[in-house]
Amino acid sequence: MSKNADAILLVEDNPDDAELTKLALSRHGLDGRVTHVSDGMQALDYLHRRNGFTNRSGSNPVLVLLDLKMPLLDGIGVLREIKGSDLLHNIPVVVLTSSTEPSDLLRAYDAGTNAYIAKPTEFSQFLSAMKHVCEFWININQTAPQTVNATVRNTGFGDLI
Amino acid sequence: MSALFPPKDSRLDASRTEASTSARERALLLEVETLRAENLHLRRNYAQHMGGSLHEGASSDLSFRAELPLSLELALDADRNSPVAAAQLEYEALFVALGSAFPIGIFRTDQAGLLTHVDARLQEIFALDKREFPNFGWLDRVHPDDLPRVQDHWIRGIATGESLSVEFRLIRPGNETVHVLARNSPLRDKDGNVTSQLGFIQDITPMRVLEAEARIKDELNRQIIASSPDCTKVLDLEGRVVQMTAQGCRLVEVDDFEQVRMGPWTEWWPDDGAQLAVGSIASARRGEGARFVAYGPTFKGTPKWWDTMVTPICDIHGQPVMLLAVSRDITEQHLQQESIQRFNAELESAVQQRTEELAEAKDRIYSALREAQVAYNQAPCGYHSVDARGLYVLINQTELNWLGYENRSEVVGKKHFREHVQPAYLDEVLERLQRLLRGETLEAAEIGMLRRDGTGFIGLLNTTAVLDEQGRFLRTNNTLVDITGRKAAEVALAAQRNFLQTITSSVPVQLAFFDTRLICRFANASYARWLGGPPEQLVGLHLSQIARPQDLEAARPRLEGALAGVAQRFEGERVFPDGTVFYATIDYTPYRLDGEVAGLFIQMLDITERKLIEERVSNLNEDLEGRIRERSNELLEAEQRFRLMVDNLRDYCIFFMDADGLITDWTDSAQRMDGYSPTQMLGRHYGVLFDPANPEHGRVRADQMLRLAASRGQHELHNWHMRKDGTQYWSHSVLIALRDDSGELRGFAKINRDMTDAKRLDDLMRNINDELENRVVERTEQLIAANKDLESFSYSVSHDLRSPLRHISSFVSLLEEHMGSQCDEVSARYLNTIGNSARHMSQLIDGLLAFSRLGRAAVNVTPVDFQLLVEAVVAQIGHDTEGRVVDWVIAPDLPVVQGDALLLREVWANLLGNAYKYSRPRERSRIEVGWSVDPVVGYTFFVRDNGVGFDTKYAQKLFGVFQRLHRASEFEGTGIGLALTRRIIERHSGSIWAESDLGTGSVFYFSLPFEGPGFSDSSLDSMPAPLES
Repeated sequence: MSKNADAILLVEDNPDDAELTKLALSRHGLDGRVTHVSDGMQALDYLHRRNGFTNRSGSNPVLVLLDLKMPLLDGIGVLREIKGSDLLHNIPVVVLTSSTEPSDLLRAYDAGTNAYIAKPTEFSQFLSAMKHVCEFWININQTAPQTVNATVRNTGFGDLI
Repeated sequence: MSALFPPKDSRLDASRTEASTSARERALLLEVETLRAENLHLRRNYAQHMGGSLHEGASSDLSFRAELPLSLELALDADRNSPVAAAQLEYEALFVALGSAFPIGIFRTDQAGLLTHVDARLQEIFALDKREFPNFGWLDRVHPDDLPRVQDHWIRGIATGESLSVEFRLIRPGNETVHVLARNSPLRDKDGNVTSQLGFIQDITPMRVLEAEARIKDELNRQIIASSPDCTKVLDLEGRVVQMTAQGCRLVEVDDFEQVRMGPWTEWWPDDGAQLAVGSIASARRGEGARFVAYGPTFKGTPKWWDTMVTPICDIHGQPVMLLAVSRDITEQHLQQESIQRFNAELESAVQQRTEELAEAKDRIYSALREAQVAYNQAPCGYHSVDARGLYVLINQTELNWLGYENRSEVVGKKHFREHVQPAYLDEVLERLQRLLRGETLEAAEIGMLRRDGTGFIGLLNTTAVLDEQGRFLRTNNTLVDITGRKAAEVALAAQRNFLQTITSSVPVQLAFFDTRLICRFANASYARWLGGPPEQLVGLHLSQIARPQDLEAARPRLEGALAGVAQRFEGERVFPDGTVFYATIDYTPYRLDGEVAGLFIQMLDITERKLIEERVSNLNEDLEGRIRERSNELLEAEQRFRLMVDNLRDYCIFFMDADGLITDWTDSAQRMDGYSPTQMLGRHYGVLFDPANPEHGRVRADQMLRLAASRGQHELHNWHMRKDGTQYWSHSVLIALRDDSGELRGFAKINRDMTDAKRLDDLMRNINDELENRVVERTEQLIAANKDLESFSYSVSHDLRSPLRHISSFVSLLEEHMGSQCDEVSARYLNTIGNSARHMSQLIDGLLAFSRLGRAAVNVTPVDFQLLVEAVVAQIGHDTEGRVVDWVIAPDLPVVQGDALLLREVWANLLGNAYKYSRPRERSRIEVGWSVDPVVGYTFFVRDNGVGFDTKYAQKLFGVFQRLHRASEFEGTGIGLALTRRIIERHSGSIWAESDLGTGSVFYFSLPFEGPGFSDSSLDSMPAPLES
């Protein structure tokens, strides 16, 4: 695997959230492996190596952490693009959002997300939620991509919501 | 007349009139003397006549001795003196003499009428006793009937002094009646004054008796004559009619007898009669009655015959003095006699004539006999006579020829009849002979005969016996007819008739054929019922022997019509001989033969049954008609009511059409509403009302509606309707199909209602409604928009509000971490407060979001077992009781309700959680759960605690969002729980309320309907509850 092969793409418009998320991930050993983009359009540009990302190095990320509420193109739109793309649809996506609305949850799964994490307001809880993401990341980097879904279920990601 | 009855107390003063009477007395005495002389003479004569002498010599002596006259008074006075006594005696003697010479009683009265003297004769007449004198009430003896007359007479005589006589009756003792003649003569003195009365009374009884007898006899004769039916006349000796009875007048027709009185009777008669009358009169004058019978017309010319008898009426010497002619009217007898004579004469001539005719007849008979002999011999049938042995004694030529003989001598006395009978018929012939010998009469029989040559023929044999005077059998006379040909024809005919009979017998119709004379020629079995025998018996009978006379009479014109060739058909009633009545259709069908009517067929079909049915139907009809009349009356009333109602409709009008839509009744209401008069509308199609300008166009529409109404029963129509004057009204009309009981379409009624005003109002309302609806739509859209806004608000709250909190919370944590040991106590407290606030706010946001979500989430209704649910919730709460003592009192029989299990769990969790929370200050908490049922509300559950309770003033605020009645420092909480609970209960169509005593506890109640949450308006349901309550 290349260096970028195990990278995580964090799509988050709020810089505070982005910092916290990266902080939490680093606390669980994923420091330096997170690429952050601030909105949906940037996320797609990154994945498709367009606009500012045509010369980005490395392969596609192994996990996308996707916020839902974003300017320009929201998380659902990004998710549909990824899951509708022959090149990208194998990339696991975890929706990471503040919304606890069931409608958002349903929309996200409808659009093909692999997991949905409502960010807790308590930092400690947020940390433990991010721990699950890390475990998820470890899992997908160790096993074949086609077994990711089953593994995710087995690890009980659904309980996070 | 009382003067005649001197009062008993008065005494006669005899001397008073004495002097004045003497002169008259003398005159009287002279008269008496004269009478006495005459009497003497008579007595002498009498004596001579009797051949003896008078024996009263003394009397006679006395009578010639006295010198008269002597006064009676003197005589009375001389009672004491002999001369006077002598005079008295003389006087008395004189009276005695007078009395004996004449049967006359003598009396005297004085001037006043008092009796002074009565003689013996008078006493005798009155049967008086001398002692009674002088107070003798002789008037007592007068017959009461005669009394008034006698008194009257007597008074008059006394008063006037006249000499009067009166006849009256006396009643003697012993009730013997005596007729007397009384006469009085006044005696006057020399001056002519009446001094006394001298009276005589003569017994005339014998004379009166004779008279009476004579009168009776006369009356008898008169009556006999008057009652005689004859004309009785009395003629004088010259033959003049002196008298004639009334009956006589009637008989000779004389109105008034005076017309013929004293007319010569003989002239009443015509010549012959006159002679006879003259002769008989002459005979009668000779004393011999005569009688004659003669013709003599009456005075009025009526011809009459009289039997007259003339007899003489003789005097006592037997000399005819008058003639009695009695004529009896014998006209009738005479006429009878004449007719008898005439009849006798006719009889005689008739006898003469008959005698002559008889002679002629005898001649004819002889010639007839001769002809008969010829006929006998040459007759078309055979004749023969056979004697007792069976030998021919006579045979005619015909039979002789039939049998094959030429000469009679070959047969007579030689041949037996049975020799010419076929063997098969011999028994029958012998049997017939025996029956004949027994005296029976034989019917004709068909006998097979044998000819001489052995061939046969069928003959109809008729046999009669000839007997002698003693009744002994002599021979038989026989006729024989060769019926061989007829027999064959008969057989054929019988077959044909049988065929016909068979056919017609099976026909229920009575069938018969009659010839033109109405003789029955054929009848079938049905028709034979008229006589009750086989049909053959009818054949030959005249119709009048079959039909009832009245039926025949009634049918005669039809019979004649049929015989004239016109077939007749009629219905009639007929009665069978057995009394059965039946009705029949009767046909007389003429039968034509060669163009001529040869007879008629009578055909009778029994239609009694039909007639009965008809009658029954007729009765039913009558009944029905009665009922119809009744109904009609009812109907009329109903009709009148209906008419009244229909005509007085105001906002409505009604009119009627027939099944084709032609107007049959254009009521006043219709006229009023549409303006057309009945004459304009009746009979027209109602389509003209749709489009008066174009009736055809209207008619198409109208017919379409009629069809709709006819198929559906009625058709409603709302449209503008044009009046005659061109104005329009909005009409709600109903077209109703009218059907009778059998469902037949009878017509239509159309009811129009003028709804113009309503229409206008309706239009107005519609405009308002449209506007309102638009507004509602608008509002709804606004609401939906607001809802969307709210949704996005909630979304924002859940998403965007939580992020900063997380950041606060997270960075506070990071800051604490970062400061580590450097963090002083104050900083640590500040950071902790920031963290707690963020956490609390996060809880508030979560509650708010839950509340908001609940308003939008669907309620998933399933059966929820509250017993299990409540126990589960209690178990969860009790899991961490923090060392508290809690008494849970849960009703053991909580029901299963319909609702959303998750939401209802939330309800219980909230209520029980609250109870737990607010009873925390108690040493021992008691939390009670119970329930009840109300038929209207449904289930009601309660949770009771012994907690702190609340001020009921604020009970309304309990269920609002973020409303708290307790300080957060006392009891943790977001203020969302009860709001959420109320929201859930309301989503379940229930309600929630609370009661409390501040400081002692509270009770929370909620109710749920039995049937679960109702289906309320989802658009409203989905609306979020207002945040403030």
